[in-house]
Amino acid sequence: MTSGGSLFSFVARRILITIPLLFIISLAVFSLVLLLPGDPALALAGGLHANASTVLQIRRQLHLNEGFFAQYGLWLSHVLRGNLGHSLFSPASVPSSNVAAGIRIRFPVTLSIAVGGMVMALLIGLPTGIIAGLRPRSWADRVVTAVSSLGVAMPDFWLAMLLVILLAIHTHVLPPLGYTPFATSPASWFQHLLMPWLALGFGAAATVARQIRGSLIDTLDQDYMRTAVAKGLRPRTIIFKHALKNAVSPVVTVVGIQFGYLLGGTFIIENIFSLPGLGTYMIQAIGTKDLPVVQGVALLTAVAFVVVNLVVDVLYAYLNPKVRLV
Amino acid sequence: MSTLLPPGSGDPIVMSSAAMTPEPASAPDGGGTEVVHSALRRFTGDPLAMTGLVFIVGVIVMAIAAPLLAPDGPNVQDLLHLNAGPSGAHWLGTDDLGRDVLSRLIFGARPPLRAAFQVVGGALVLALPLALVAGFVRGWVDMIVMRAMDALFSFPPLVLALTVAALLGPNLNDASIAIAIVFVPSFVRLIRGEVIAVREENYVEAARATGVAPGRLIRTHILPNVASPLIIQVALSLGYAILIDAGLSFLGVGEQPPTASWGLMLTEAYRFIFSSPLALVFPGLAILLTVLSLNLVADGLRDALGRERFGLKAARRRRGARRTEAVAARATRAEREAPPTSDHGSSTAELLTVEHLRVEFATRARWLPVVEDVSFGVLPGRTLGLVGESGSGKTVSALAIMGLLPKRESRIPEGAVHFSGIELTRLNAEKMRQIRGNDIAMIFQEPMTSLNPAFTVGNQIAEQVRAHRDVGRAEAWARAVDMLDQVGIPDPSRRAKDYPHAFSGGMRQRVMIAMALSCEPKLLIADEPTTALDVTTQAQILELLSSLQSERQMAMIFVTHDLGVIADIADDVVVMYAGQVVERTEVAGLFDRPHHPYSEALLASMPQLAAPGSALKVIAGQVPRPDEMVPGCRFGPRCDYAVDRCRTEPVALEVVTPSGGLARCVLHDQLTLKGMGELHPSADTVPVDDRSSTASLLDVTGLRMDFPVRTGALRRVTGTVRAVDGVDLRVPVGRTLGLVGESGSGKSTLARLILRLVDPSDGSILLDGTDVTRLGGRELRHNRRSMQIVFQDPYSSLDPRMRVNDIVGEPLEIYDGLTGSARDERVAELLDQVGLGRYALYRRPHEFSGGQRQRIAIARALAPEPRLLVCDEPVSALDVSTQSQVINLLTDLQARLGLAFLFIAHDLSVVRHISDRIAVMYLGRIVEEGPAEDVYLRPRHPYTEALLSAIPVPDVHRPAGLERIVLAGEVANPLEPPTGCSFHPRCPYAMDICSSVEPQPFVTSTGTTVRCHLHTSGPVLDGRPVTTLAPPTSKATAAGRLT
Repeated sequence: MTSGGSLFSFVARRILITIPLLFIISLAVFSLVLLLPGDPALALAGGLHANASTVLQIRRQLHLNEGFFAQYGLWLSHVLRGNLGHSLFSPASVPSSNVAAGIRIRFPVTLSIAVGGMVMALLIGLPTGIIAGLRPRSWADRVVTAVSSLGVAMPDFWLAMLLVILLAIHTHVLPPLGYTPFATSPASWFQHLLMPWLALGFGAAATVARQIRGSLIDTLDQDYMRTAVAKGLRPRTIIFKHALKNAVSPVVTVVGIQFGYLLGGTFIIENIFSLPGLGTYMIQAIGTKDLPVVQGVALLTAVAFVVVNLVVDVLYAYLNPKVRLV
Repeated sequence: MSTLLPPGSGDPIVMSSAAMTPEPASAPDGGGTEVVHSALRRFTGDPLAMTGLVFIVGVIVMAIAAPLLAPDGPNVQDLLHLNAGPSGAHWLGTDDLGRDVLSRLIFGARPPLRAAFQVVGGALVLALPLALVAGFVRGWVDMIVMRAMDALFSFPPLVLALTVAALLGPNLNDASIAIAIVFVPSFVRLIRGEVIAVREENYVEAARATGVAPGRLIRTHILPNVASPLIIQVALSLGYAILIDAGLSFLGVGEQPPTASWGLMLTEAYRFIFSSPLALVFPGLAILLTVLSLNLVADGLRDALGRERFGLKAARRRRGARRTEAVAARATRAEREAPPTSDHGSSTAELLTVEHLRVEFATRARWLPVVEDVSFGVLPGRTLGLVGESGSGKTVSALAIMGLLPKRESRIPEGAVHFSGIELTRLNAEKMRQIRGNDIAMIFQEPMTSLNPAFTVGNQIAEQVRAHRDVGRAEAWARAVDMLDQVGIPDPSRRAKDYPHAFSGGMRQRVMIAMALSCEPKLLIADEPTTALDVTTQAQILELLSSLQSERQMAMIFVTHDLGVIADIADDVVVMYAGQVVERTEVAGLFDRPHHPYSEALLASMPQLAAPGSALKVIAGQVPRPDEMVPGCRFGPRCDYAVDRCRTEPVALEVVTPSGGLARCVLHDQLTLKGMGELHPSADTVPVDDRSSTASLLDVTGLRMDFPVRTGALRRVTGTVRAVDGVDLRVPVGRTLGLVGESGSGKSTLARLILRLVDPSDGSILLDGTDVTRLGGRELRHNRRSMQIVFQDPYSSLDPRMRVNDIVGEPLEIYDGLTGSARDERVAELLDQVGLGRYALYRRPHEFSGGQRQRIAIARALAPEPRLLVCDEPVSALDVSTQSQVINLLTDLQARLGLAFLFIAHDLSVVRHISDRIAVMYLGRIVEEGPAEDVYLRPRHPYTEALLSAIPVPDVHRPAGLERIVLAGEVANPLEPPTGCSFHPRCPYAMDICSSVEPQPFVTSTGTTVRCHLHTSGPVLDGRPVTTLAPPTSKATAAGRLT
């Protein structure tokens, strides 16, 4: 038999797989232009009533006269150098007319919402799920199961609104809207993001809790758990070492996928709390069909998601030595 | 199995209640399929799921009938009441434009529902063909599809939907198909995964072997089995689609005002969040409850459909078996056990004493006893064998000693377990913990699943040491390495850092032993520790256990179903049947003169020593389930000697021999039962009658199968494994060729090659003169009629969703065009041929025991009227008595129908019994082939000799000279096959030439072909070359020796 595959070669292999994936993603993002009905330049400029010079200018800016793959090549060569193009509609003097710059300003906001939501989800979801999974059919389990069923079914932006009504309008505990950068005032930053985190994190927490509960119940039923008892290990070793390491690994994958949902959810939540992140940026751009902005934001979120899933896969391989061989 | 009674003999009440209860494990692998009638009944019995379903249907009806139900049109304005609260005219109030909220809510259900169904439906339409093709064709098609799915999966779903919807324009109707793309990857992954899993199931292979065309295969076998996870996923996706739709509408890229839709209503209400927050509640609740209902329906479906999928996972099945053996079924008859009897003398010296142990398991109705009045003792340094078929309660007894029974589902209402003066059954948890693993250790049947996959083996041993000894990490690790060394694991300090998956089954069992012995326990409980292993590995493990035991003066309880193993390792033996001890004695006593008819029957039904050509002794019927115990002797219904007295009163365990042997039989002083000597008189003359001279049916020449091996980051093909390497075989018309070898020898691959379930790399397979390797498509399917297969696992070889008449009838439809009652009539005839009645026609596989399922599989294989039947370990998963029944059936069928068999097994004694000729396979090659008796009694190849020697022979008086040959090491890594003779690294006779030159076939005078240098360039023994044989070895071990 071969000995266990090394984590290093697994990571190397996983990164190698990611590179072609990123190319496919970039191609998909660029192909968005094909979705535009009719003449893309005309559609982007505002349809039939568009100003002819605007149409011409857009056509030139996006190289729409070239063939598709030539356009893609040009676009990709710029993207690889960190140039995501210019907004079609903001005047060049505005700093955020450069898409890359615009994203650079907004990405930290979106990221802090999504990451905070994930942290919230784990803080709530893991312990409750573990409590439920250790004692299936106990009252604690029933409560967790019921609440998490609600959690996965609840639209996060509705929860956000309810939180605003409850915590900002009725009790004035938290500010209803707005954003303060962390560097300006950490306390204010925290206050402004707490509701978005809760709103986003609740659904994810419910998913995490359900997942860890199920996987813990499965794990406790495994032969090696009986071995652990037969060995005379202490109960806490049995639970916290033998059960949890195995039970957590499927949850890791779920956390990766949930992060994608959270990134998406952020786009709505930002609009509710007027947070200057990618979501509000994107919504503005969608309203005006500002293609470079839409492409830039879509590309960046996809890449962020891919990176998160890469990390998740590595973590998964760390937890499951067997996976490294595959 | 008892759920099936012949027509007329069954009490209908018993039958129907039995059908609802789990059956006990009736095969070592586990017969624990829960008997479940229909998923529908389970679903309707689930209140949450039903509530969800009712709500969903209600919402759909409401949306369709909106114009009839809504008090107002969705856009009718009541300008006198803007943003009004609930009133008689507007039950839920009005919005900012004075529109009735209730009406808008009702109409508002339409867009999200329509969108959800369009989106999910569209996704299914896109995903289904992609996934089916990817999963069915595999190869580069699969690669491309899955990489594309990976790319799609890399977009956060909402972002993808948002982008697509935004560019396509704000009209959601057009966009919904585009949003469907969000769901395509998860559908494709799910369906493809299921297709691949189902494809590998034996029942799909069996269908292919029967000649089922790909279209029909997908339609009747794959899609139905993929359907249930898919339905669940669809329900969940509908809910998620509603959430996405609401989100998009909220962001203004979904439906546009003034349409009434839940998402838009939220947007509108949000503008007035400060003035009328209540308006937010209703649309949000509507979304929440709808999605919640869909999720509840999905959960309910998962519970209802999930349990029916027992065909799919072996592990789950085993677990189910254990649980059903444990949680026994609802009771049908009450029973009162006789008061505890006979204490026997030596208990003072005993290390462990079990007294009148009774174990009960919870069922819905009551506590059901599965072990009753079990008493035995273990003396220091001695081995107690606990033997019985599955369902006898031997494992439950062992687990009870260790306190490992499931806490809530079991209890020990009576009896005691004394260990060194401590009563274990009432001991507190911490004290018991200190004994477990320290004073009493245990090893289990499944070495593959008993070690934790997430930790290195060194870690797992060291933690046990640290749990019981006050030592540091380094010291515990050193102890772990030392223990690995003691159990014979090469290079222990490096191997300690490996994870369990890097070890073979035999090596893992060594690790388990190292772990169990790490704290120097006084008693080791071994629960079928070698059952899952090859016979050669079993021999290694038994030898290891014996030597470790004698070094330490450790006592041992050895649980097994194999009397051969008992003879080999035990000093004392307890025979269990249906939860009771039926006989308890010294091992020699049991084999020489059993005192319970069950013991005698067990001895008699062992295939090891049965005379070739004679029918195997069979114990009729099955072990009864815990809920159907008869009032008298539990073995009574199956006993050849039973008299009226046996049926009326419970039987006590009584002293039957001067040395204190006990038996539970009313006739013990009247019967003289047969021991090993009388049951299996040794044959002095060995007829080597070569029946193989008839015409060839199957002629295999130079058959080869290479698997590419991919390694490295780029997954390049870096080598090939020759699973089958130049095999020549011949099966004559109406004869049996037995094929034996350890796991990994390539036997099963060879079987699949011959049936063309996989395509060979080279060579020819002539069936009746037609080379099947050259056939394709329709021709091949037509040709399949002549050869059929019976698989090892009776649980996965029958499609769990089909009824027996459809399973057995499928080939009849394909080849004979039979349908309806004509088909069923023929199926009934076939069932009759395999010893099942017409009553089996309309039942599903899970209603049958392992042995009965194997009969159904045989009936299916017989349906196309084949001339060759390939039996791939058809009895390995069955209990001893069932095994004999199936083998007798096969021999009988051969005689009646003139079938030829290729009979594959790892158990040489079974193969010998049924075969005319035997072929021995090692690392993809046939190393020896010849007349069955010749190979069995006079093995020419050292590997054959070792295989024969490893069979545990139930002979307690084995002559000292006949020490077992224990092969060193394991089957070589097929990636790096040894040079020369591939067996030479393990061969006790290896010569210089063996490592460099590949041996050529050599034909002996008796017609045996052997590939071994001993016969061509070996030494001359006693003045004769080794190819001339010594006379057959003396009695008792019928298995031969190299001379």
